[in-house]
Amino acid sequence: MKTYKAVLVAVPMLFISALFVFHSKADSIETMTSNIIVYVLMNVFFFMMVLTGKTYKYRMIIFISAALLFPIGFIYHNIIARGSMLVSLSTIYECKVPFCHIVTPMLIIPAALAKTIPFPGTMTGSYASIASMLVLLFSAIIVIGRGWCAWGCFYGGWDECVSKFRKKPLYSLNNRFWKLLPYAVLVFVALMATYTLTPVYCQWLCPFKPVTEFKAVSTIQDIITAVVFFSMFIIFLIVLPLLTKKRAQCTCFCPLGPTIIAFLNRFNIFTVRIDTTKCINCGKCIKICPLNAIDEKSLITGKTLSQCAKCARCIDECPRKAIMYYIRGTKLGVHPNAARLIYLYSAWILMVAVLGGIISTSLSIIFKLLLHL
Amino acid sequence: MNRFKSIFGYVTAVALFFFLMFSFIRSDILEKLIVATGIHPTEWYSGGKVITIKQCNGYVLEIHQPVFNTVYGDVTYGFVQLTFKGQPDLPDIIHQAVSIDNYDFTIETDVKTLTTKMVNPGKYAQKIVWTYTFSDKSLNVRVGLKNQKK
Repeated sequence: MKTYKAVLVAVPMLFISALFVFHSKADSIETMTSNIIVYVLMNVFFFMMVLTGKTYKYRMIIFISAALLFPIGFIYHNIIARGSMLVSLSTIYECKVPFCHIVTPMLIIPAALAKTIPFPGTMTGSYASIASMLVLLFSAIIVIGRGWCAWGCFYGGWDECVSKFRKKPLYSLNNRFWKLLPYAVLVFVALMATYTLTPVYCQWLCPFKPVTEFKAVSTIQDIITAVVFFSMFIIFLIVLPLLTKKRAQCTCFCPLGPTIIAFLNRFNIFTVRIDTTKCINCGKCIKICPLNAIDEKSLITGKTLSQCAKCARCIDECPRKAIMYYIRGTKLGVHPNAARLIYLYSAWILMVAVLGGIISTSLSIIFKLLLHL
Repeated sequence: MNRFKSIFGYVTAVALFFFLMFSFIRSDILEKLIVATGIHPTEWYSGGKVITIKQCNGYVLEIHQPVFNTVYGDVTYGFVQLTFKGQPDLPDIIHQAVSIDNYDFTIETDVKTLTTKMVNPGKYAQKIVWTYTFSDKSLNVRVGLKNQKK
């Protein structure tokens, strides 16, 4: 796109992103500085995406940065709020545990049958309250479907980051076991949470516990859960992404993204399509897709699988430019750039509001700590 | 027909962008909608709603609804949560007789050591589940109960 056109397209983002980055008054010079850094970075990246027509690398930098910085802000908040990153029993029984979107699959059955949520959080008015997180998640899913997993989730950057380290994969997740595993995890945690009225995944399985919060180790059960948490972290966030070059946790273990959101993604207005008249069946897209969302059948039908998180890696790397963002109902390939820009506006706003906020908070904490050293 | 579908697609896509903006800027409205559905954290964590408030000597006692309910109906063993709020501070030892929904028992709590013992369990009280001080300085005791309907 020509520079003046790119400027015109990117200008509205300057105003919209300012609404989200500067929505509350900065309480210190460190907060103001980090807000400005995030604002400039997000807008420069958006402009570059519009100008160059490339999406993946700009998204990936923000996505990975947010995931790696998230624990700093989260743990700092917990230390300020309750004096420790550890979850005490009094914090649990006071219902002051921040809500996480991965809990959502566990609350569906209890909420539907008994209007109850098996999680010790508050409904509104606190950091990461249940209602605020559900609004965020549902809005994102309605608008960009599984795009949430590549543009809004503040965990997914961990395995995406590690998956970049090796040049070639040594192992494939493309078999029946790994494809069915997330459904097994979903069924297990949903039924167990309904039966026990506890967030089973958070208590026993979550691979992100070592970098967020967990119970102090004081009993045999605590030791077992700590071992499980660290094992899950090592297996799904380090070993498998390293060996497979895929987002292993997001593909094979998360009970939300590859199952429920992927199902709802089938009805989302935005999708990624392959123009079969341009495609030369080189298979590069199948190889590089971080979520195994393209298979041989996709090259024939032109449709990506419902697992597609619209991260744009295949779009950017297709040698024939045969893959593109697509709005359902429109004619494929007629206005591919219009579909891309409309999608990018929604996805980037989500990124600014969620991941930009996380980066800004964590940077501000780092600045404060550095200044007080 | 194709032209109509195409226009509908673009209009919907743009409308969704504005919906996303709205959901972020006025998230309070959508949060209220979620709260209005009546869903709430399970009483097994929150302790249940307060059904009786008693003014005692030097403190206020809030007695929560006994909790037995699960998704698949009431269970045999549950609990009742008692919240003691000091005026301004709690006495060192609290000796409290409780009578709620035909569950009668007496407990004694040492506020300094956060230990509670059952003085008189009555017919249905089982054991002291835990004693904690919350961030609002209130002292909370959970007493295990056997469901009298079971």
